[in-house]
Amino acid sequence: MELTQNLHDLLSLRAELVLTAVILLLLGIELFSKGNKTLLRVVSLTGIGVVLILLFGESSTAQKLFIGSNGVPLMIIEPLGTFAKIIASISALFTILFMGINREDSTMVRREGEFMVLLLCTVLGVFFLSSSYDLILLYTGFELLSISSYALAGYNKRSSQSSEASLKYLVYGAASSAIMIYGISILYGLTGTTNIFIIQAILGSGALSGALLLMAIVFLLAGIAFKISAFPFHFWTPDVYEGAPTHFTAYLSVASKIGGFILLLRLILDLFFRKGFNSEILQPVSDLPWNDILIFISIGSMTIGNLVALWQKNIKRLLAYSSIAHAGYLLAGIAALNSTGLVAVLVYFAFYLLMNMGAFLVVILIKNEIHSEMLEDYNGIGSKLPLYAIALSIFLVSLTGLPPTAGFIGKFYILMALVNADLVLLAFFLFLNSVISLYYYVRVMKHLFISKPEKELGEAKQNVYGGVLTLVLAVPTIIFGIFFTPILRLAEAALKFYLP
Amino acid sequence: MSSFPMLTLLTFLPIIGMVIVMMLPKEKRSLIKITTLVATGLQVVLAGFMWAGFNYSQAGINNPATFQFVERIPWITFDSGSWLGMIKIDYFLGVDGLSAPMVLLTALISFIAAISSWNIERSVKGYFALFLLLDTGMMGTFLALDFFLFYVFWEIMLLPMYFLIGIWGGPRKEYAAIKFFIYTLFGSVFILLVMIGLYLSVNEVTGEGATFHTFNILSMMNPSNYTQDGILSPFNPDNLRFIAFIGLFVGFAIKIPMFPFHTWLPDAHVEAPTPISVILAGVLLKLGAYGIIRFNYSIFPEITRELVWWIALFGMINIIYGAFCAMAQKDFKKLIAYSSVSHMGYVLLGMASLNEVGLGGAVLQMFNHGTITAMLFLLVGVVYDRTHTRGLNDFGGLANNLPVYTGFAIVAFFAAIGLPGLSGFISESFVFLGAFKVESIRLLTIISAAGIVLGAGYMLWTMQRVYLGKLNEKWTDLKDLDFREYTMLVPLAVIVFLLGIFPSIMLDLMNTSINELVNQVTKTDFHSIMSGMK
Repeated sequence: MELTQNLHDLLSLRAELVLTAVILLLLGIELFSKGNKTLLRVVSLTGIGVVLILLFGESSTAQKLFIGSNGVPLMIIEPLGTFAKIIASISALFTILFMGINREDSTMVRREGEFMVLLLCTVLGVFFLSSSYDLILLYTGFELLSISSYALAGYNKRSSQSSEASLKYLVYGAASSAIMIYGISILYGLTGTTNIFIIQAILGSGALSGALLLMAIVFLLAGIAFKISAFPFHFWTPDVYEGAPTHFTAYLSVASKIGGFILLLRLILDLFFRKGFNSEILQPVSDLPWNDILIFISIGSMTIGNLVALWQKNIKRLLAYSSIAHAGYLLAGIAALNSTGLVAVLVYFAFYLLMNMGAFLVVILIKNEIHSEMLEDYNGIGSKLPLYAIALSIFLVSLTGLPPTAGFIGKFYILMALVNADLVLLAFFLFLNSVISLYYYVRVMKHLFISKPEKELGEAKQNVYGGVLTLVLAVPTIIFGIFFTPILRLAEAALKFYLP
Repeated sequence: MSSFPMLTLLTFLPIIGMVIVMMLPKEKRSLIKITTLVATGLQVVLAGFMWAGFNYSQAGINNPATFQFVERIPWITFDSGSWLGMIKIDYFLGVDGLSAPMVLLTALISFIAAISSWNIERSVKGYFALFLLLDTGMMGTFLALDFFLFYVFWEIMLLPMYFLIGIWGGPRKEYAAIKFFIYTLFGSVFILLVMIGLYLSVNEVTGEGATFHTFNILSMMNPSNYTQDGILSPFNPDNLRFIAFIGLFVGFAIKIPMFPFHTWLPDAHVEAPTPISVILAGVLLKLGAYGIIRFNYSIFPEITRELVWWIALFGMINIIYGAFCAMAQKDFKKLIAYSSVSHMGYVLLGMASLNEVGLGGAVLQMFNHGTITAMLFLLVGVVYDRTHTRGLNDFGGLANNLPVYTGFAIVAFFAAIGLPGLSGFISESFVFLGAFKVESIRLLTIISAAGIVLGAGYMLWTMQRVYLGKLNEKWTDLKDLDFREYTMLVPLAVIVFLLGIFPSIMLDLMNTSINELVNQVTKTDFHSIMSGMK
């Protein structure tokens, strides 16, 4: 009986199964068709397309899977996890599309199959992070995401920078994973289980408290902070972002973050806080300084990210520090610990996908033409490649958070959550950070449009495929800044089981 | 009230122009310019129609029923569970006697700036597209009656302005542009936070009886709409209304610009191309004062009453300090920039009086300063185009070979000084009359009056250095005004005379609203509600 039940449950993981099948298929194609490029792309894109259709299909359902003898499930498919899966899948889709145009390294084309396989493995990692309710299973998903990412960061074989990025990522990643699993082991030692629901019940009974529990939480947060590149585990970010192939950087900046954030949300919503809402405010199960910890990391991330970004000369490093700052903004939304904050984080994430992916896309396109990612070489791009330059400006304005772009709506909701939670000072601080960030985002635009080029740009020209992709990301960035109801509805639906 | 979407058209006409400009090939320079001219010209015509259809007896200010040409449609409606995401933002435009003069000013100045932009040579397409976007932002800001909408328009102005100064400006354009951008965005921090605080504190009941938080500015003016525990609610004993007032005030004061937040202005003016200086001085500075009157005064009347002395003090500092700074300048544009600081001080002083005469004078001064300073910047532009210098000491005796030009200059300078018969005189005397009536700020008013003398000092001295005396050898073959320059200067000069002789043209337009505004700011009692609660 239990076996058939488990088999039945396994078949309910449709998106995961399809994804695994696509990974295996890609491996096969890579092996037997000598890396037929068209076939690889068609299979991978269709595969992700099918996964997305499945995900949208189950985006409002909840299903408990693998219910053990003690009555608690190992995995649950529910809307919040599905939201994260959709974000990860969409960014993988764009990454594969970006790969087709990236001309950084000529040998990359021959090894597209490897890239796709590893990329989809990271997506699978996010999938497991999104629906698991057991710390060991969560950790497995976490590592699947991490280890594949280490390899992908070093994917650009000819570049020593890329290898350096990979190694740095690996060393930092290994260290923070180790800290995290130590935290998990403490939690296991305290409670005798790795299942989230049982731990929550034990915490709720008030049997546990004190330094050891706090230590476990801080260690768990270390692993998460690494994944979302938040202070003080952000040091890998600029080097890895700079060294990795740009289309992977784009993916890393979004999918790795959603992986970390879904884990954080899972821990907060299902482990350390009371189930559901009685009021709009989240109630922790034991009196730990959640507010203080989250506010500390949040302020640290945005301040460090924005202040250091001011001095960057390389656009990828600049966007890396901007991504650290954005981790801070997102954490501020969680630090509000109320329902508006949760919705705000998801809304922000959907918009962040658009604007960050878009920014990196334009970086790839411009690098194809001028073979540089240094800001001083961007001089005069505005008149030579107007569409790219205007699109990049739209993405940067959106990252700054100015209306009428999507980024403003995201920031507006986070600020609203903070004011509502009486965290007016944090709100003020967040917006002050946006003012600082304006300086370096605008500096990019200054190079694009105002500064005069020192040398002729030669025959740089825009291509149709790149232009279309840019528009696909830039137009919604504006439209969602004016009509944002659909995304709001999506975020609300994702939190169906958590909102009052 | 007609169903014709007058205000929408007024706001978005420039955007339509912008789309057309964007679609034209960039070689068609004159077609691009003509498109811009037509768009801004139609805006003036529409503004004229609005004026013709304006009912002088309706006050507006805090009553949605007496606003005119109102357009209100739901923009964002998100109605779901009980969490805070339930949000309702209206596309809510309307005009009253406070915004009507500003709308007229914006349309007029934009049109004149478009003419003045005719000699822009570099990336014409980009320039006019941004110019039109800026125009929409300004118009929308004056017309919006929904705080969210207002904020969107307010911020839309920043980026075009940054590029217009940064790309088409003078030698230190990059510095000036980013300084302008960062100062204004810093001010926006406060505005946005206060907006969110008010939103969370104000309820509006819809037709179906459901209560919503609202961004409706007019609802924020009525104490009975506030929730019990909102952080900006008068019912909440720990409310932050005082801090919110200060924050909002600073946000708008940066735009005025009020001392000590004025330092971006001289830089921006000196580096900006002439038409952008005209817009900056003519319209953008008014947005700050308009914001204070529309938001601070009407939404926080009880705190306004407490702080009038401080507003008057900063007004006085602006007047005196601006005048002294102007006196020390050697650059023609910088001089006018500082004279703007000084003249906007009169607006602050008039606002501090809280009576019909003073506030009326302040709003009239906003309009007059817009026209006079626009004229002054155009005049500087005229000589700068011909000589490529703005040094006050490089000129001299221009009256000898540019008699017509000098004639216009004399009109503008004397209007700025406040010569009777010209428009500046009326508004300045109203400001002083109003402010002098109020005992608490009388001393400040008396000191401020010295600004008139100082103003006459630097203006006359400038005229002497530039227009009178012996003609500088270098400029003997300068040509007098051409046709394009006439078309810019004549309308402004006519207005300066007209409003000097018949100020009632403008005063009647805003009279009813100013009375209602004074009523709102002096009578609305947020305090008694609070004590009633306790």
